[in-house]
Amino acid sequence: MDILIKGIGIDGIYVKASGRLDLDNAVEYGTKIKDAIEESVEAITNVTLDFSEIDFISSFGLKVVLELYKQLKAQNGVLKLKSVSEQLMNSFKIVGFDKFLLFE
Amino acid sequence: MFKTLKSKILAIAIAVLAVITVVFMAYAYAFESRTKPLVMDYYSGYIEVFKDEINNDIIKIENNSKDLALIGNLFYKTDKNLDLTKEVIKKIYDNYPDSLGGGIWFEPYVIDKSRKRLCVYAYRNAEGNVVTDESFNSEEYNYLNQNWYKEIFSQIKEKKVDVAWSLPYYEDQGSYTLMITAGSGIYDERGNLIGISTVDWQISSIEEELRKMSFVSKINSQSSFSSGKYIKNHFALFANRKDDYVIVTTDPYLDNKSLIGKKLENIPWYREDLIDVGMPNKTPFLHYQNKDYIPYVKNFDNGMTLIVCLPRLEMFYALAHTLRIMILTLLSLGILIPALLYLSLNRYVMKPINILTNIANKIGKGEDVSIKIEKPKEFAQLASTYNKMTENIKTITKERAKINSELSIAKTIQASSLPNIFPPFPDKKEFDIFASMEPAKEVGGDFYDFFFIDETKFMFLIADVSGKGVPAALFMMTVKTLINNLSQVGYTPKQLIKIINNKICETNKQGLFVTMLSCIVDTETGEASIINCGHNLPLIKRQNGNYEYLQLNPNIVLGVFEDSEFEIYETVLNPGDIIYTYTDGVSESVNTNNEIYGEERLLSCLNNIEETDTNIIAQKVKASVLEYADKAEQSDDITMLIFKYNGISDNIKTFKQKAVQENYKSFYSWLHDACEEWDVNADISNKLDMCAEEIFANISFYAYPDSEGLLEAELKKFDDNLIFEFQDSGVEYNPLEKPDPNIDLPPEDRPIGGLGIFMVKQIADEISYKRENNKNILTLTFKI
Repeated sequence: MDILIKGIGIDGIYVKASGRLDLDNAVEYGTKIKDAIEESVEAITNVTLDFSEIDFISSFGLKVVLELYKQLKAQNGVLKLKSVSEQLMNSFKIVGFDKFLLFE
Repeated sequence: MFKTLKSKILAIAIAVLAVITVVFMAYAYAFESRTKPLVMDYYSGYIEVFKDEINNDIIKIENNSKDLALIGNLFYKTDKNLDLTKEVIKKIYDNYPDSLGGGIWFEPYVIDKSRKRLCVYAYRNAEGNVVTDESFNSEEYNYLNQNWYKEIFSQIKEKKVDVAWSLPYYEDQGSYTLMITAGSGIYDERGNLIGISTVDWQISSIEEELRKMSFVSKINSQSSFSSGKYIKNHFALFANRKDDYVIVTTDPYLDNKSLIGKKLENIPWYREDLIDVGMPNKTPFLHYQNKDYIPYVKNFDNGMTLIVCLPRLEMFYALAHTLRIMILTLLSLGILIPALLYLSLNRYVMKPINILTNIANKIGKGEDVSIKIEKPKEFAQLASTYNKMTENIKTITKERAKINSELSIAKTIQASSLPNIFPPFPDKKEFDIFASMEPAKEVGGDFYDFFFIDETKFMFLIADVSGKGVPAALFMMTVKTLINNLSQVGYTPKQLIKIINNKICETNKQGLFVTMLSCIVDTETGEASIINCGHNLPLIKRQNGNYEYLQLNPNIVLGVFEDSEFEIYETVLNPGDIIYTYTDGVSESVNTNNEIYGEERLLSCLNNIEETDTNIIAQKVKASVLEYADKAEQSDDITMLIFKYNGISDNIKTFKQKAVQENYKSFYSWLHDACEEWDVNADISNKLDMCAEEIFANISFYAYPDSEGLLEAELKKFDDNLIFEFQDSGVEYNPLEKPDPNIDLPPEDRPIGGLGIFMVKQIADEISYKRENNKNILTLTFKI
């Protein structure tokens, strides 16, 4: 899985990945974002996940998203999801994540 | 009871003993009651003799007294010569030695106006000489005042009797003895009583007489069954009943001396109503001093009575003794005879029978034995017959064993001629088939068969040849081969069955016939032609429905009429349809009460089977039939064939690999390929993907904690449904039991885990879990 992570401003990062967020990749995806947050000099409060090239998200992927949301929320940060396809949106709805996540 | 010969014989012996005892008891009773009067009479007669002796004494004394009275009268009438009279009396007395003494006694002044008293008394003195005694004339004695004189005189005077008796009295003048005195009257010419004569009777001599009586216990006077035992405890009473006093008694319980002359009421056992015995049955028993006595009463003419009391036990001692001997003798015979009978029967009949029984048992077990009995002759003959029989049995058994082994080979050949490797076509996913035959003891006529008749058409059949045994088996093999060969030629079903029937008719010389249910299925389209030739109706289960009997019009059985036409039932099978066929060995299996299993029971048994695996269905039905039959012997082959139509294999995709995360990629590729092939839309395919990943992860992480195992997945397409089934043989786990998380909680409070299975439940249209054959089976259904 290709994962692109780049900074936005001093307190934000932008993450773009392609392919499946599932059993095989979700952990790697989550770990890389957490590493990026920790490695940053400034405290990261703004994370944007670009889902335009994500084909599929499984419960493992959803779990990673929830963890990330909780982490940022604890630091008064914001998690944004960008370009979520209708199909992926259904997955979020099933578990009720649509009620608190920010979609752009 | 009395089932064995031995107990019967014993019972007869006891019965004989009982009869003998009863007969003898009756005889003994009759003997006793017949003999008792005889015994009584015997004693009575014996006592009569004593009575006569005493009676003789009495008569003598009374005659003596009368004689003396005559002399007294002569003395008065003649010259009153006293000396002469003395001499006469002395002379007379000399001739009557039984008496103590006797004399004549006159009233005052009758003979001589100057003499107040005049008497002549003679007696035998100590020297044995008869002398007269003048002292009785004395003033001191004054006989006129003596009781005996007054008693006798007044009795004669008042009662005008010839002879009168005095009370016993003690004579204190000369002899000092106890006596009684008899007397007669002396009269003058005008008939006035002027004096009396007396004769004395010494009581001790009467007592001596009484004590002389002795008795021997006998049955009767002539009896040879005499014990010779003397009766000891008898006693007698001699009394004057007229005047009611005791003369003498020998009662050992009383003071006899003091009773002499006393009233009879002083004898404790005496009763006024004692009369002569002679009727033994009426004899009153006297119970006296703890003993029973029988009184014999003998009356004398002068009012005196002799009563002899005999102790009853001693009287009948001889009778009892005789009875005892008779009882012992006959009882011992009564026991001895049946016992001998029993023992000899036991020895000569029971023992040989036991020997023969034991030998027969051994022969029955197949042991090689022979019997030797020499006696009795009948059993010796029987034994030799047995030996011959044993030889015959040996020969027959050998032949039987040979036939049996040949039959069992035949049975094996027959069984192995039926296809018995399942699944028979592992590559063919379009259908499942399972068949089994549980043969009865004999070789039978049931069979089944299945084969492809061309590339897609599959034929299966189940049949039952009439009859049993080798002919049926041979016929069955012929029919089976025939059908198999003819089916390959390419006839239509209608043609095929007609030809089969004709060929069977040709080969059938024994008048056997075959019932058959056959079905030809197009494995790609599910089109089926079912032909029922007089066979049990099959059961059919349509997809998710229940089993029901397929109501086919019956055709004639095969092998009877040539050129018969057959009606064929055409239908289309859908994936999941199951056809269950069987022979009457299933439905007519009987229990121990001889009640049949029946078609209703078969139907409900099948409907209680949830599994759709043909092998499991067969096992469960067989188990149900065997459980019903319990211990009843299986009389017919139990044969069944189960066909399950799955549809063409394109509708099923299977995945089977080790349950490890490394295989996840190939798993979802498999799923994607299937979705692409079946044109599953993106939404459904996404749902499948999400569920598949979650379940794959569950199984690969948790199902096999200590080892490696397989994950099997199957994706089926039926009409508008996609059925996704997962199987693993790991730890038992039902994910549906896990509680749902609360998705309305604020995100901060929500746990990270527990989402997956919840999601699956949300996504799938139906979800079910079962544990079967140690496998977790999770089935998801999606509506397309």
